[in-house]
Amino acid sequence: MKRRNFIKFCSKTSALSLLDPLQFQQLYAATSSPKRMLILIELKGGNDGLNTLIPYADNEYFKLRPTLSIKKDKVLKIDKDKGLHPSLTFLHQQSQKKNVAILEGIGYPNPNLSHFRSTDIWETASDSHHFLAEGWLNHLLPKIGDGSELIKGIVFGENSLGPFRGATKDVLVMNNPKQFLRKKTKLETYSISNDINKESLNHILSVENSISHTIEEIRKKTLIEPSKESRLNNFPKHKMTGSLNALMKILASGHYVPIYKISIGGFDTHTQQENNHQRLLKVLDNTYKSLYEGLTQLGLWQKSLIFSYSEFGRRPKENGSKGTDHGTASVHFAMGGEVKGGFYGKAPSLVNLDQEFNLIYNLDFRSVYATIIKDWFKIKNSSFANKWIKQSPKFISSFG
Amino acid sequence: MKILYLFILSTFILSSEVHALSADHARHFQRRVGYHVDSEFQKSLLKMTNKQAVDHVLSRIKTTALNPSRKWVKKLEEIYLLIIKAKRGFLSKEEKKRIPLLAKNIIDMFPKIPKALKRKFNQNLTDPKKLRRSLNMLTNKILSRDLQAWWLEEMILTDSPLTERMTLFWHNHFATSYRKVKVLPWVYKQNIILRRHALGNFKDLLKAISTDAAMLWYLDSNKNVKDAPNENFAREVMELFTLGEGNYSEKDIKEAARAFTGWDFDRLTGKFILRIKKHDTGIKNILGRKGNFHGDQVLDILLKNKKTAIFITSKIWREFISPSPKVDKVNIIADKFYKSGYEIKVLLREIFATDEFYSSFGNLIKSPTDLLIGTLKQFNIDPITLIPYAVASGRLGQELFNPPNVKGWPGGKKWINTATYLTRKDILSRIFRVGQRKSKEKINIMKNPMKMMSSMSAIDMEAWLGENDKSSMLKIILPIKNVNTLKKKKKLLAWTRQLVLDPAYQLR
Repeated sequence: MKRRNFIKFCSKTSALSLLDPLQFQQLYAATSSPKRMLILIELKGGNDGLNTLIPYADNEYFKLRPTLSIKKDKVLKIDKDKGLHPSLTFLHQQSQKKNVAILEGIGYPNPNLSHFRSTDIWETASDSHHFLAEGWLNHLLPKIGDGSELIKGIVFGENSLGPFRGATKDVLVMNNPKQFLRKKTKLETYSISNDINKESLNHILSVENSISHTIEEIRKKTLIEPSKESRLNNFPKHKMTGSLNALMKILASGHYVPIYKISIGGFDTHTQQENNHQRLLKVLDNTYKSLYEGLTQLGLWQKSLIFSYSEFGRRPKENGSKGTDHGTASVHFAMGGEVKGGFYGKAPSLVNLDQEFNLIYNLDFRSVYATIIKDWFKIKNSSFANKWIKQSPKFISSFG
Repeated sequence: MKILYLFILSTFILSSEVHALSADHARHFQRRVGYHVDSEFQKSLLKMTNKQAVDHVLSRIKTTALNPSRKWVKKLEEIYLLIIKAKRGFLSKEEKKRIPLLAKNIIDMFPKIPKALKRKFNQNLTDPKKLRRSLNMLTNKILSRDLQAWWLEEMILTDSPLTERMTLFWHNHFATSYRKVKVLPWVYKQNIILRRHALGNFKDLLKAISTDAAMLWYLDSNKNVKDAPNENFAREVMELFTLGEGNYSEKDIKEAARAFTGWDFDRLTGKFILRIKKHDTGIKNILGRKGNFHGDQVLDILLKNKKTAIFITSKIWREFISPSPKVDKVNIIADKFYKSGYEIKVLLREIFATDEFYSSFGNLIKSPTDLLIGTLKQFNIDPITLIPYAVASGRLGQELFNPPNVKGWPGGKKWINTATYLTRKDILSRIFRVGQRKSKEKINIMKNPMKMMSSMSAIDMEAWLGENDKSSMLKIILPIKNVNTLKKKKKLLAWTRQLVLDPAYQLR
């Protein structure tokens, strides 16, 4: 994209305002520290993996999905067996350039079919029968970043800490990012004593400090032009617009935040799946596209890893309401400057199903986390990652 | 001189038991046994010693709710019963006709239900299987909130707030979620049990809860059978209900699970039953004891272990005194609790008699219900419905009847993170909004419940203040000195607003 186009993009997204792209590249290149970023996209409700990556050469697929199967000629083919849902045009184009890691058959043993519980499991990286209080990213927080970061993580668009659960001050949650950045709530910065009899108060003060510092920094460096925010016509207006805007705004202001999380809701397609799923995957595709374009323009693509996931996939056999019920293993994507495109893991069998007639996983999601921890963030002393790294998919190029 | 002063001070503190409570101590006591500082109660407390104050509260404990149960609870229970009958194939013709009638009755109790939801619900009235799914939907979206509001109403109405505190404490201890149990009448019944035993005997409580339908269902007891024992209940009863982590082995769990095999409840009556054929009658080896134990005897073994008393005492300490229990003191109190045969009142009496209790002003973080109910009670706010507050409590991380998992809410400092702290401030700003209020009609409570907060609760601060001055008001609202410098404000409401937005207001 030319500079002129970049500015056009900026004004369209309003996120990047009128700053010079070179400025950012210099800003980020100036230090030798890697300043790597992870952007997580959660697909809430359980995304239907079988209609995301379609095994169009397998007759079993068409038998299981008499009304919901994607017709062969509509599938965006990647190879002679598999192809993407027609909504995923950007991901298809990128996967042909070998820019997308397609992780197949991701799941975990003894799968739980409850949204809440399975989300717990994904967020805490626990075994199916164990309950952990801390999110999987929490033990990494002290090890991620180079000291220059604004805050360790930001969760957009929901009111829960998700994979940071249990963290109190290193992570910021922006339920409504637009409102958040303009928020009038007056926050203070306090000096904190180490009086043990004040441990509860001290905790509150340090949380407030952490928020006020972050917000202050973002506001200070971000050019907020509310009038331009209404001119969002670059990507279709959907639930993600606000989150993506805020994310870009923070990046554009030159701040470094190692981990971002955004989420797309509505994947629980029990009924009338066809149209809904088509729309949802378009949102996902657009989200990847917007992030790719924005990060590339900022010169940050090389420093970025995007990983999208969901608490489970859906049942191979469609139900009686033109939908699919809760399932297990599914397919997920990763993109980024150092991602080696291609297929990882193994597609689950459509014939060998578990007791609930669900897919049997081939790739434990925790081994993907291990790739992120060890190969992307280069953290060596994580006992969790060390445990899972053996089976982990090597989708990060080693010369990064 | 300084030494003499310290001496006088310390003798004063040590002998505080025989003196009447100071005003500060009385307010502190109120905040811990209830939700707010009541000025009438304050007056009577000033005439009492700390022991008398504790006696006063403990002798007035209620074991039932004042708030009558929601009308839909009974009707919903009947529907579930009829659905099971239908499933088993002995539904009479009249009963079959009754299902849609009952369902319609329930729906009609909520005139503001979104039309789409209503339509969806009405489509599925005749097919029992589909009806079950519709009931789940109605439960998740409407009825659960209404049940939460019912409990919040009780917290406000009650003249025994300690009962509600302890009921919630036990709900957190014996965590079950309506999201898994699904049948709200069982959830409601469990709440009644918790309240009945809230300040009774822990042994009775443990046994009542262990055989309660919602708990049996929540911890998969129905799947725990002789040929394939399910360890869920056996594990949680040791780890979370009695001994605490680290005080048992994996082998103990496996053996105990065998003793609990066959524990189930009658789907029609909700009553506990032991399914003899599914019960393992073999010899079990649990915590060093050997015998042909059944579940009830395992509970006795767990209660005989002093670790149980210590575990509960530490938890009570964190609820009523501070986030960091003193081990030696806990052991002494646990010993008395144990010797009393697990009388909860004995435990609380000991807790309220510690020096630590009276020197822990504002060292606990208010839970979401503490914050919301405390605010409503303290400022005499009487909203037309508590649904927005039920929703708010959920947003703040404490959706009643739906703790995050079997471990319950982590509580304490975990209540406040960057997300919930801002939400707390936001909610308080809404309640104490100064200036124009939107009219009531415009807001649909089902669609945007939180918005209703600012429109429905007009606070008359002048009337509230009465003859008091601002400095006494400050002491009532904040448990410790304000952290932010107070600004002069023309309007009393604006002045109060800065108090509730002060970090100190998050404490109790």
